[in-house]
Amino acid sequence: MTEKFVTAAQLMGQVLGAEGYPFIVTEHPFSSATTDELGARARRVAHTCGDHLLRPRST
Amino acid sequence: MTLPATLQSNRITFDDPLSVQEHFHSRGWTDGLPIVPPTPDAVTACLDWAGLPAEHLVGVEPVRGRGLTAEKIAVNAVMAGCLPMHFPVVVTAVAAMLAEPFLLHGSTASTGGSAILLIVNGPIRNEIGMDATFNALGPSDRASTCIGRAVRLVLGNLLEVRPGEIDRSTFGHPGKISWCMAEDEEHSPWISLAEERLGDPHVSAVTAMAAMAPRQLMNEWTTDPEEILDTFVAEIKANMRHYSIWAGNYAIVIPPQLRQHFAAAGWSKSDIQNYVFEQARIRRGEWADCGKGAIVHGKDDQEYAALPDPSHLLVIAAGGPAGGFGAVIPPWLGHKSRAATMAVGACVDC
Repeated sequence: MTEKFVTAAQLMGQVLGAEGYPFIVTEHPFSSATTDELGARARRVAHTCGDHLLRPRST
Repeated sequence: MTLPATLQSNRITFDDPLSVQEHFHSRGWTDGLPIVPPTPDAVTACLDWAGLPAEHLVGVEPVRGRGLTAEKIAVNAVMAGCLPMHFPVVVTAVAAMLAEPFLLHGSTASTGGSAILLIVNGPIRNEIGMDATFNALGPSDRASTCIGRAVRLVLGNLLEVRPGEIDRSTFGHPGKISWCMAEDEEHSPWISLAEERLGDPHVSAVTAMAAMAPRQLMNEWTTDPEEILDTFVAEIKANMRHYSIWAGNYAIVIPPQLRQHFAAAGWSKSDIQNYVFEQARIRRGEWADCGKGAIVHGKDDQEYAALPDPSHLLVIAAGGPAGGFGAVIPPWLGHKSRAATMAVGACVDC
């Protein structure tokens, strides 16, 4: 999710019955970013993917 | 007054009319304009007119699986100023929007900022006082304005489609306040939009389209159908260059002054659709002419059509008696959302 859509993602999680659903935030916008910039952004957040995927499910 | 047993909505009592307005505004239940208090009697009158029980499930929003009942829609219709006789059109409009190909969530949440355009056909237009002539794309009459507003209030109050919540529109456009129109079937040489899409010449129906703002054009210096349509095509191509290249439902609105030229030349709606389908095409390389060279990706000669096929062009007869104008109404985002037409009074779950 880009930073401009954090509140939208939070709301969608809420209305879909998954309040607090975790997601990774990266910079906005990406449509005008270069390939190098996109790669750098991906590298910055890649390490958090494992944390999100392996996090124990909250009840 | 006793709350009818069938209504499930919360009941709130107020001492004066102004406090009603302020309460609804403060809860974010309005579009900023005053509302008509949705009293149990007014809501029940809408339901009775349409012959719907309060708990009737009009449809389910596909992404969230949220059901919209007749009662909740009636509450919003009353708030928007609808009379009971307007309510069947509101219900049909909501049902059409909930059809899966319409992609209601995507089209109402997108930064693109489309509005819901409603086109009403059939006898019900006249029964409820819709006017397809003067100011056809604006507030032409009470029914059009209130029905369009009711749909917007339904989106906000039942599906959280409010600015900054589900609605992420960068700009939006004025059609998001209310956008409902009738087709001028009485002064048209053509079959109606509803007959074309449903095959029934006598049906009352609503077509919903996720639509960007109308682009007005003018060509009153020819009687040649092809030249007239070339102006419409130029506007469609401009939209493809400047906004979105993807093919989808475009609507074009043709007023009486231009319709007479098509009639004199014997052109049907189908002839118009076929001509526009063939002519409304651009090359991807044209993007470089308007600052979008970065996404041409070496595919300069790749051709893109505005319409997936001729039937995707919604040809609408409407407008005041004088003026050689026209309007092109582009789709939100190609064919991701497809226009949906539904007959008034059709039951979708029985």
